[in-house]
Formats: sequence, C-alpha cells, structure tokens
Amino acid sequence: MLQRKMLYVFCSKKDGISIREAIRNMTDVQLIITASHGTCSIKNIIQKLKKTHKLRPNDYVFAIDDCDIVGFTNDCQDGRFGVSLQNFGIILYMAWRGICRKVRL
Amino acid sequence: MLIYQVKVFRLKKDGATMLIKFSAENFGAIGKKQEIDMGTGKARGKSFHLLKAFKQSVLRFISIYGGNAAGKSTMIKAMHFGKRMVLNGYLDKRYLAINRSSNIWADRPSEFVYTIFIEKKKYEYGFCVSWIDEAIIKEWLCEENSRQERKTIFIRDFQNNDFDLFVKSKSEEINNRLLIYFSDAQNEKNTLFLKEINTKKGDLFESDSSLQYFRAIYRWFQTKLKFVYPNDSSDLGRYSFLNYPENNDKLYDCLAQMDSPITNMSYVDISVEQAFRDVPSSIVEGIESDFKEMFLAQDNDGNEDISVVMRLDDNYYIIEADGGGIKNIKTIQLTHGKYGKYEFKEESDGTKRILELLEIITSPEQDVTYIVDEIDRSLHPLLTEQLVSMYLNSDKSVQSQLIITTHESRILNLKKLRKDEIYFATSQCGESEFVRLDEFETSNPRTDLNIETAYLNGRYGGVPTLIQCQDLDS
Repeated sequence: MLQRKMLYVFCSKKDGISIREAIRNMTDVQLIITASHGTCSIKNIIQKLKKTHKLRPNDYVFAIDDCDIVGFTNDCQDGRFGVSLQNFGIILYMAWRGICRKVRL
Repeated sequence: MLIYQVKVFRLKKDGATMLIKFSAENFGAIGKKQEIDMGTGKARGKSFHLLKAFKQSVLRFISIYGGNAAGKSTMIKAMHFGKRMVLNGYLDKRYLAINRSSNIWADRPSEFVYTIFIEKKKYEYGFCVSWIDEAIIKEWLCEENSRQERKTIFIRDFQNNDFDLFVKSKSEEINNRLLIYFSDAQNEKNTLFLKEINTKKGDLFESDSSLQYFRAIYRWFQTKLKFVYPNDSSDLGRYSFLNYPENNDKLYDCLAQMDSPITNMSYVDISVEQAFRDVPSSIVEGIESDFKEMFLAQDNDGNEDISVVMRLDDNYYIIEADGGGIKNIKTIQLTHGKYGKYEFKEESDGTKRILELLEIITSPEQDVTYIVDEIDRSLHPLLTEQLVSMYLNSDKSVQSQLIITTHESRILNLKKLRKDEIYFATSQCGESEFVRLDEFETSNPRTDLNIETAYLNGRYGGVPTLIQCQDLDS
C-alpha cells in the first residue's frame, strides 16, 4: 500500500465540488481543495504549501482559472502547472491519469 | 434506563485468552473482507505494548482512525454482532446490516471470523449468515498449534451439505453423545453449534476435560469481550471500585493523574422513596418482586441476603434484599476534596466517562478484550491522550487488550505507539477499507516522523475532503 499522492486544487467553489465528485473513488489520491477568489501566482502557492502541508515531489498542484472569481499567473517551473479548463472534473481526472505529465511546465 | 447487575464475582482463571484477529465481510459499510489483526507487524520497540501468546507476540492496543462514515464503528458493531450471535445462538434481524453499495452484496452471506488464543493454541471460530434465508449457512472451528499445524474441529456447511466433527474424546460414551449432538445440529439452521453445546450439554465438559476449549471459547465471548459505545450502551459497569474495593487506591491515583477533582468515594444510606422517587409505583413493585425472586433463586439455603448493584438513569444503588424484599439501599457519594460531596448523577459527562473507562486500567480481571467506540467522547484531547498512555503503561501483571476508534489525532505519535497499533479506515465506492500503518510501503521507520500531520493532510486516507475558502489576494 502506497501513501496517497496529494492533489492540491485551487479553484472556484463550484468547480471544487464537481472535481471532488469526479475523482471521489480514486484510491491513490488525496484531494485538497481550496475554494479561492482573487489572483495569485502559482509559485507563491507552492511556496506556501511547502511550509504548511509538507509538499512532496510527487504531489501535484492544480490552479484552475475562473474568469470571474479566480485567476493565476503561471510563473512556476518545478513540475507543477496551472490550467484553464472548461469541464474541470473530467479533464482533471484524465490529467491525473497521464495527460498531465505531458503538460508539465 | 434500568439495568440490573448482580455483583460481579471473581472469575476462575481459565488460562490466558486473547484476541488475535477478527475479520468481517458484507456487514454494513464493510463489503469485501476486512480484518483487524492484533498480531505484530513491521514494527519494533515498545515491547511493553505486547502480550505473549505462547511463542507469538500479540498487541495490547489498536487504534482505528478515519473520517465520519468511514466504517470504524461498523467494524466494532460487526465484532459485537458476532458476540450476540454466539450468546443468543440465533440470527437477530434487529442488527441486520448488509452492504448496500452494490447489488452483488444483496444475496451474499455475511461472514464473521474470530481468531482467539487460548492456553497454547490458536482457535479460529467463524460463521456465515444469509440475510435472505435468515439462517446460518456455515459454522466452523479450527485449531492451530505452535507449529502452525491447522486442524478442523468441526464444520457445518449447509450450502455444500458438508458436516464433519473431527474431535475425539477418550471416552466412547462421550464420543457417541457428541456425535448425537452434532447430528441433531445438522437440522438446526438457526442455531450455532457452539451455543448449543455450551448451554444445553453442560456436563459434557465435566466428563472430559480435553473438550474444555469449547467452553473456553464460549466463555471468552461471554465474559472477556466487552464493548463500550459513545452512548450509554456499555459492557463496563462504571463502578469497578464497587467490585474491586481493594483497588481504590489505584483508582484514586488514576483520577489524580487525570486531574479529576474526585478524592474519595463512599456509600451513603438512602430511603426507598428517595431512590425511586421518579419511578412509577408499578415498576417499583416489579423491582421488589424481582428481588424476591432473585433471593429465592440463589443457592445459599436462604441464609444470606443478596446484594445487587442497580443502575437507574444516571445513578447507582447498592441494594440489599432478602425474602421480604428490599432491606437497605446505599448510593455512591463522590468527594471533591474540600469542595463538597456530589452524587454520581451530578458529575459532568466527562467525569462519568472517565470513571467508566478507568475500569479498563484498574480492573484486575485478566484477559479481557475491551473495545471502545469513540473513546474521545466527552473527553478533553489531553485526557484521551493520557488515558491511552496510562493504559499502555499500566500494571503489566494484568493482561488485557484495548481496541479503540477515535478522532483524537494527538495519539498518532510514533513515540507513543507502534506502527502496527494504528489502523486507518477509508470508504471507497461505498465499502470500507482498513489499512494498518505498517502496510504503507513508504512508511518511514523514524520515530520522529510526524504521523499526525501526514494523517491530517490525507497521506493515509481516512480524512474528509473539505473545501476550504481562501482569499488569494490577502
């Protein structure tokens, strides 16, 4: 049994709920959702997570833009990424299953 | 609520008994077979947390963590269901609970298996019940010796029509009796053979001591497996100091360690009217008549009064009675140093809970397996931590086991617990899964590893997925 990989998602509340439902039954992932508003850089988020949540190399941070509620500047170069998606739940699931590795920054 | 308990007398020592493993399948939140294993795993150190079961080490303590609805309490209820089945002997549909997450479980049986250590052997006792047919469909008992040689003692498999009794007595007469009892049981789909042979064929064991394990296993269920729930339902008496007054110093010492204001306990006489002032007269008459019956039923030629501890709502009474009914009633008074005396019912919920749980530490009763659901109910986090610590560091001469479910993450510390003493329960697709900390491949053996943070972050599952709100600009 492996420890769970952490999947930190910063997004709007509505997207957070649909993402949670989409990947509820994934056994190897622990989802940590932050319903955000405002703007921030992904680099800042990662720096904060390293301190507060002991972010590890295999964990992922998703920052999902919502044009009215939350936006992110993508200035991170260490393997995490920000995405701007429409159907967050399904695409996030696919991303977690492999596609995301191709779009690492 | 009205509960009678005849004053507990010391049990004759039956030899070391303890729980090695329990597994359940298709019961409530549990779908696929899940187990709680008291055997040691990939953990070292803290040898004082272990019991010796002949050549094997067995854990004294297990803690189960998990989010709400993860299945922690279901595991406890499954263990309790098995106990009820053994003691009642029949399937009680009030406790009906199959897994409803998928149709595949609807027509499958529920299985309960206990592995128990008695004297120098391990015994596996299990049974399967069908909720559709409302019947027992399989029951078996096996033994395993120190060389891990396994031998079936009996099996009753109604589905495959397989009925075998392999046990042999030295006496031909007893063998014949056993075969007749077992043959009768082939037609009894609603009764467990273990119950039958213990309750209706009592003198069998007196005739042949080599069959004592049948009794020892039954008595383990009857007297050694105790459950405590977060509500009032409890196999503990909350008055261990009444049963074991010589242990009161130990109890006061424990209370002092837990910063309880109680410094002394004493009995005071009260009248029948005071004791039963809130009870309808018809019930009081019923109680009187129960005492008369108890007096007549006792085996002492009617010379000695009977002494009964009775719990009425939130208070306790020690009632002495003879053939004429109630003679004398005493109640418990708790002294808070120089700050007054209080009745039990006037104490806070937390104090009552402490007094109840301290029986686990102070009782001299040997070989008991205590199972406490939500041990942290009504307790300050520091007190829960202290209680567990006191149990693990308690008198080594008293052998007992403690299984708890809790949300108190402060105990999750490898300086306090071994890795094999921690289980995490998670719910996936409507089915609970129990994983022990030492089963995690990346589990770090360092004792300074912060398990609590990793657990609360979700590394081991068993935590709810919350949506936290945050203003990123600030």
